[in-house]
Order: sequence, then C-alpha cells, then structure tokens
Amino acid sequence: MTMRLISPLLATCVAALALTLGSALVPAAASADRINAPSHDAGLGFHTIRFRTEDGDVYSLHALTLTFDYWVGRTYGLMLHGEAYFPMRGAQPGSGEDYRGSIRRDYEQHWGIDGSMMFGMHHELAENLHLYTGAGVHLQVFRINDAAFSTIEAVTMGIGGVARLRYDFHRHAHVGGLVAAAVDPLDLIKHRNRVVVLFPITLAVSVGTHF
Amino acid sequence: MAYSMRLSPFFRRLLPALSLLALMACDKSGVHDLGRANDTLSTCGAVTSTWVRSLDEETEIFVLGAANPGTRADSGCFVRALVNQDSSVAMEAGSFQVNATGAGSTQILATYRFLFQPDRGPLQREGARRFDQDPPITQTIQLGRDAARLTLSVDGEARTLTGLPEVIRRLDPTTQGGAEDIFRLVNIMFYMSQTRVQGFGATGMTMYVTPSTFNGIVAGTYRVAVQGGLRIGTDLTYTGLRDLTDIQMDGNQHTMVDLGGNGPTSEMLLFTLDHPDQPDPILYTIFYDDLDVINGAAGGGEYTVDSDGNMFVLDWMLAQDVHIRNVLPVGE
Repeated sequence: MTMRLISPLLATCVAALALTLGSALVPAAASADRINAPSHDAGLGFHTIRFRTEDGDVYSLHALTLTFDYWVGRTYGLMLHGEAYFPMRGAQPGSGEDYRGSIRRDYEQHWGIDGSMMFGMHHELAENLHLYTGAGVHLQVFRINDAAFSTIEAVTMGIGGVARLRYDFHRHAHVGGLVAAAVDPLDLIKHRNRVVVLFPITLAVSVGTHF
Repeated sequence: MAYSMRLSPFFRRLLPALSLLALMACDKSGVHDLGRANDTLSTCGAVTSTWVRSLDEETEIFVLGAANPGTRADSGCFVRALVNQDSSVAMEAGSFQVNATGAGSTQILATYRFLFQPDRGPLQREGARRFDQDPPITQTIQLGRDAARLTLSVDGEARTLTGLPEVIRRLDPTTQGGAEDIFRLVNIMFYMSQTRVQGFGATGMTMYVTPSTFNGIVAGTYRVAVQGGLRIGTDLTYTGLRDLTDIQMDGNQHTMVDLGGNGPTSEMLLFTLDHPDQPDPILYTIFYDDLDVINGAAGGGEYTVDSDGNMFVLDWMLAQDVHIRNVLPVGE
C-alpha cells in the first residue's frame, strides 16, 4: 500500500519539476490571478496521535504521513487537507500489555486516513510568500491489525485546523510547510471502550502547483 | 398527506461509501490494548477428559486436564462451557488443582461470550468477545465420583456429569433421528470454537483479512481468514481440532455474503467421534453447499450429512436447536 501511495506523490513531484524546467527563465512575478489561483500540494511529514479511551487507557501513535492540500479562493476560500499515514511506533503506558515498541515490526496492517474540510483565509506576508489558515470539520480513521494481535481501530470526527506557509519559487510552482491539528471527541463506531478524545498533529513539507 | 423522503443522487452515492467506511473499522468489542494476543488459550494436551450434562435450554461441558478426575490429586487445564440451544455460548478457561480428597480451586484466565442475536443486523451485533481476567478468577471446586459419573462442585454449586464417551455410545448414526443428534452434538463443539474467535458473528470479522490461527482446547488448530470487498468471503479451516476430548474436526467451511450478510455457504467439515466400544470411530460429514446465510446467520436451505456411510438431509433450523437431551436427558 505504501508503494501505491508513493506513486501519486512521485508523479506530482515530476510534474512540478517539469513545469519548473520548462519555464525556468520566467520569473515568479507577483500577479493577482496567480496568487489566488487554485493550488494543489503534495507533501511528506510526521503525524502523531494521542487518544484516550473509556477505560482510561492512553495511547500514542507516531507515523510517517503523505499529505495532500487544496486551496481555492481569494482572501477567503475553501481548504481541503488529506493525509495517508502509517503508524511506525506506538505506546500504551501503564495499562493493558504496557506496550511500547515498533508497530511497523509487530503489526502487519498499520494505516490511517485523515482529512479536513475547512473555511480558510489567505494572508500575503511578502512577495511570493503566503500564509493560509483554516478551520473546519475533521474526520480520521486508522486500523492497526495483525494475525497474532487484537485490532486497534477507530473512526473519529471533530474540529481540525491547518496553517500552511507557501513560497512561490516559480510562476506555477511553490514549496511549503504546514502544521495541522485537530480535536476529535466523537468515536463513530458503536463499540465497547470507545475513544473519548483524540488529538492528531501533523508537521509536513510539500511541493505544489498553482495556475 | 404522507411525505416520502427521496434521496438525491448525491446521497444515494454517499450512503454506500459511508457504509463501507463504517465496515472498514467495526470490531464491536472495542479498542483493544496494543500487543494484546488474539488467542491466549494454550492446548491442554492429550491427557484430558470431557464431561457433560443437559440443562433445560443449555448443555454444560467441562474439559479437564486429567484422564480420570475425582479419583486422586490432579491438576491441569480447566474449561467450562454453557452452550445454549440457540448457539449462544458462555465459556471460561484456565487451570485447576485438587488434592487427594478432590478439594481444590480453579484459576480462570479468560472468559468468553457469544450471543446469538438474529434480530440484529451484522453491524449491530456484539459478536464473540473475550474478557481477560487480571487477576485470574479463583473458584473453589470439589471433585468426586458417583460410579462412572463425575461429581463436580464449583463455588458450592454441585452437579453430576456424564463422560462424553458414554454420550457417544448412545448415538445411532444409522437413523434420521440419530443423525440429527450427532449434528447437534458436533455443532456444540463447533460453536465452542467460534466463541474464541473475537468478533465472530459480527462485522468485527473483517479483522481477519490478516488470517489468524487459534489453538484447540485438547489438540489441533483452526484458521480464520476473510477476504474483504463488496462481497465478504470467510474460510474456517480446521486441522485435527479437538475442543472435546473424543471428537475431532477437519475440513473447511466457506461462506460468501454481501454487505447485508446474505449469501451461500460451501465445502464440508468432517467430524470423527471416538466410540468407546468399537475400534472404528463414527465418521460424520456435514456438506454446506445447500445452506443459505441470511442476515449473517443460517437462515435457509438444508444440511446434507454423511452419517457413518448413511446420507441424510437435515433442516437448517437444527443449527439453532443444539442440545443432547435426546441421548442425555435433563437430570441424568
């Protein structure tokens, strides 16, 4: 599954590089149309989750993540943020099996999907430097499963936000970095020992295009 | 005037996607501990004996890690199961230890529960669940003998049990009624094995897209594998499984259902019943090709069985009427 998700990322990177090389002599001049054009970003980063369940157990998961971001608007606009993440390490100190170790090694299935649909604002900080901030609905799902161990899975919903910095190094291309966070108080699965609250945080760098 | 809700095309496309999303993660037994093993039961080994009694709506079964309990100091595995005739099961597993007078205690490490909930859809059912007991549950027991039968008291509740070989002796595989009695008995063991499969009988089964193998109480193993998608295929594969001392299961049962829990079953399971008086065991095969699953449970069709060389057709409703009262009456 990791390979299938890396292919779109590589394709986006290749497209961005091709655009850069193809019009390398064109300066990244500021333009009202380009600044507010829809933009697409793909990135790589670090994703961490902490959550508590009804039984009072506290879990933490640390993951590698692939991010996808979309913006359309002018001063105000629509922001979409999505992630496919893969927990690598986890811990559940002080309860259960008192687990602390490598999820990548111990579990065959370990993946998650995270997404937010937000109302956002665009701030022009300087020429070719932009800040996008947004807040809205957040939804995430993860599953950690193995033939030998019981499943840990949840589908949660709450409020999420993103702050993304974008630097235009080319008329149609940019690089960026983002911080995303959320608070999910709702566990959508009606199961025993439900998630009471879940906090995901993401730090990522990205490359993208705008037209 | 009555209004009818008509969903827009958008919502008609959205609802299946949301249903699939819900099914992606539906182990109703909860968020489990990291590192929690799927199967904590250790096989007792060859030195075991199985004892049973009939109750009004249940069959009570004990598997003890002793060949001749109640006659001397003993210790070993301890499994107790209450199998309701509708296939609901409550089970506990651990160990026991008694002195020469038969007095002692048990240490229960895990309890299991499966509730038969045909009135609920697969998404709403609880499914099979395991409860790890930390610290273990301790019970006082007293073992003794009443001729060939075992007297067993657990926390002061006394009972007299009959050995499983005696029950097998009373079976007649050559008649329709006898074939039905054998069907009921082997399904009791079948349901006991399913109770240890976390999430069994509900959408929590999707966790077995990574197939898991479980230990038999007395011997053997069984494997649970699920292929996901819009139609869900489940394979239960038994290899020399003995949850009861004198009955062995082999073979595979395959089920293919849609998201509503409807579809056919196929393949077969072979049961070998060790007869106490005959050198050859009773061989009993259940063919699942003519059975239909409705709403996640047997709901139509029939079972074709080979009862020690005699072919019979059994109604599907027999699977929800499992007991041994015909060969071991209540109170005996």
